[in-house]
Amino acid sequence: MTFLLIVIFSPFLAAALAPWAMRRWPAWAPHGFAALAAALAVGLLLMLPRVLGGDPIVIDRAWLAQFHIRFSIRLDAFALLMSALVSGIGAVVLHYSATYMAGHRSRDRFYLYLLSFMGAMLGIILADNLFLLFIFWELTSVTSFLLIGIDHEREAAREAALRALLLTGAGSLAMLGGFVLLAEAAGTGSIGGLAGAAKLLRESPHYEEIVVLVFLGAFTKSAQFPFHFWLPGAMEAPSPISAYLHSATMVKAGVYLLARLSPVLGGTALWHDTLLATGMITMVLGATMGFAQRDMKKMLAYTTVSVLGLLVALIGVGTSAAFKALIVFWTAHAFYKATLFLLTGAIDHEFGTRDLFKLKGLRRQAPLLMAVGGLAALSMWGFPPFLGFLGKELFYEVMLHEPGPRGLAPVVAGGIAFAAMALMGAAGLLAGFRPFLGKSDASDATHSAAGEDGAGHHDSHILGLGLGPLLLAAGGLALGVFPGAISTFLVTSAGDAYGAPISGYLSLWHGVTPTLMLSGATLLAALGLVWLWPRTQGALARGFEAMGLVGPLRLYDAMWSSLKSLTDLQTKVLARVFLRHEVMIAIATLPIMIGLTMWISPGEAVGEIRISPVGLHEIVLAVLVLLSALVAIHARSLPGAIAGLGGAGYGVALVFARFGGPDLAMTQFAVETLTVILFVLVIYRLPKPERYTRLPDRITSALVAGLFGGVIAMLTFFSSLSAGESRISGEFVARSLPEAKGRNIVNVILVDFRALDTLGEITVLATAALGIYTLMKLRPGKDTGP
Amino acid sequence: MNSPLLSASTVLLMPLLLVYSIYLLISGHNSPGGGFVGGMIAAAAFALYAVAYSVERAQHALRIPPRGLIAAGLLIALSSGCVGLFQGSQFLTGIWGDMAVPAIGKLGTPLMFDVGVYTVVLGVTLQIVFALAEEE
Repeated sequence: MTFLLIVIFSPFLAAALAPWAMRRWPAWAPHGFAALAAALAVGLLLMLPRVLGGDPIVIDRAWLAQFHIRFSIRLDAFALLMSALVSGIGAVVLHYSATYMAGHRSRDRFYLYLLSFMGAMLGIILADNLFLLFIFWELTSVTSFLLIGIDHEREAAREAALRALLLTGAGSLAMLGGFVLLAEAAGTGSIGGLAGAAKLLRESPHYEEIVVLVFLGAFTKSAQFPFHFWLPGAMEAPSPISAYLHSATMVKAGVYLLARLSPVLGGTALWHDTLLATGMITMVLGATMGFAQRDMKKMLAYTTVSVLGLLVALIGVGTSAAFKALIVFWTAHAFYKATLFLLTGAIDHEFGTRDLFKLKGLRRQAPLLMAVGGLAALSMWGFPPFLGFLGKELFYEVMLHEPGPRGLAPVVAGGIAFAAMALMGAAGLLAGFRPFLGKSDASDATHSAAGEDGAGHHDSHILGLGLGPLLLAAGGLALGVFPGAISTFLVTSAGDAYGAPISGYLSLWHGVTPTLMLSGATLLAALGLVWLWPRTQGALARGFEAMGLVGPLRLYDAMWSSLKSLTDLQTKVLARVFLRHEVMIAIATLPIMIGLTMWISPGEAVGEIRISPVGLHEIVLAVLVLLSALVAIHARSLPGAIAGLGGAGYGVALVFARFGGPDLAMTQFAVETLTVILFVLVIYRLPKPERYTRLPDRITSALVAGLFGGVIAMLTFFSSLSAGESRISGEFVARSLPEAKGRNIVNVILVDFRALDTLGEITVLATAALGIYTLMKLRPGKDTGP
Repeated sequence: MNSPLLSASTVLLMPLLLVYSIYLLISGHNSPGGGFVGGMIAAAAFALYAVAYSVERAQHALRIPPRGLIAAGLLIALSSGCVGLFQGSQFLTGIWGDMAVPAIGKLGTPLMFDVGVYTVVLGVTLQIVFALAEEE
């Protein structure tokens, strides 16, 4: 029970401590983080016997229960598999980063973001409440944004980060709408509880809206066509990030959500056919575009898009066999793709390029990396007995199964699958094997800075960069050789996703079947494609470039630039040359809005006008305020004007004090005092007071000021007539002492009854302070300091 | 600003203002006061110090940079809301202890929340004051 809370919250705690720990122990802290992640993975796996025994672990706390928002988490076999992958691969990535990110200037922040991401990702997987899931979902988008843009000096990194954030952010906003409809229609926000309401949901008048909105969230997150283009852009991030977020974990969140909701929303043509079609298109497009790349990382990124499409297509098929294939392919991909990305990073780090045409003959310099690449490439190629082979077999079985998936003829489905798998296998071989083969062209391929230190330097790095990936790659092999060891685990996970227990057993050998023959043909076809690649890559790349002119990326760019022109226009209209014009617009807007409202719906007068007798000291106060205001307007010097303004403010504070608002009066006094101090601080830098304005300007100002004062006075006057005694304040008064143990009702409202509002307000204050600081201190061209 | 009068009175006023601000914070639940106005008055004390001596000395006297205060304050307010979660109630439910502390009264999460407000207001105000005063 408590362990699950530790799983979610300990990464966040570690993240909060990370910058401090990195300064204190720069060499050891990353290994400490890796150990934490590994401990979480082991701890999760220790729960396996209990979870497989059909006893999921559940925590459920009320949060904002009236809106179906609860803090509830649930660990079943599917969630256990995914969270073990996230924390296990996380451990490898953190260990790898210790070497890869050494000396990077933003290293402290890197671990802060990466560990926060890990916590958020575990949260998505373990959450059993739609809205809790949404919160973690957003957190992964934000941390992904920060990690893609970690080298924020480069414009390309900034652009890619923003694009990923805007796209996934827009999608998740749509998804939130879907979640609200979903929870309202089903009467619960619990993901586990939704399954019971599946029939109710399918008959709900909002079913179509729900499905489309959820699709938008999942498709943007999991880079489905036509939203796929942010993912290759995200390769601006350092390689450990690409390996972790953009291949093994975060991009699968959309697929995870679809799998979780499949028993709830599935069963209609809209659900299954849309998923199958989108998935298939994404799969083929991703594999083809991957094959057309010469940058190792881009090639891998597009094949990730392809696999994401494949997984979505399998959910679209929606049979128990499809879910089995889904889980196995998912696991295999997590192992080999993370490995290949880490390998790419290691090669880039040590040899200074990722260009597949330039990388040759590295087997001498980096035999360990070759072992890593080879193992991962074989799995991606789908060679027996690797886990990738098993995944491919199961996938083909689903596609070839009579009468074909969702009415698609097995020949067509199998053909499409075959093409995609062959292209993906070729990409795997090109990225994992090709850099090590051929004759080494040392002067060109070896990075000069790294080369000077000699072989010993390479070796020490390569151990740090190669050990983790080697473990992952070997894991992919071991699990493939002994599928029995994890058979129950994977099949039970598939059953959790499918929504009903699945029987069956994973094994390597199924006898000589059409599936096996297709699988063998895929291996050969991939080899052929590897031979073809150097001869066709250039032409293919040019072809895709031409297609890109009308692609979704273009549409995104057009929308982005029109948004920017709109804000330009807005700035030109609202923010004119003088600050006082902006202030005037702000001051004029309020009375106009209030005045219009009072004009359109005047309401009914309930009471009668009561004017209490006016005492002498009240008249004195009013005169004091008015005189101070006149002094402020007519003062010849700035200090005089400031004194006048302060006097008016103090007068208003005295009015508050006179009419029973001591809290308000005190705050007003403090604000006025601080304002005067602020003026004193800046007064020497202000230009000498002159007459800036001409008579027409002053008349306009007077009109606006008069309008503001008049409307507010009317509002105060009429509100005492129309509304009568507000019921809510009476309730606050009655409940203040017994329930909140406070006699000062103003304070009780602020810190107890309306504490959420106050929390929002202080957050706004904090943001405003940061904004002011940024505007004043971080001007372009100015030395910003540490 | 070099004014012996201002410097001397600041030295006398500052401790008074700070004590008063803390008094307002603590007693705010039952009599006029609270975290917001308390934070403002504490900020005024440091701003006065900055005017009388220099921004550098005021920053030194504050010890913690204003941005740190903002972050800490938000964190304190947020954690005070989480106490209720662990007690099985909803977020931000006021939880009160049984023991009464002399001069403060009963301790509870609303007071902790107010301490957060106090810290944020102090940090925000001084962040702006220092930024303005340092600007060249």
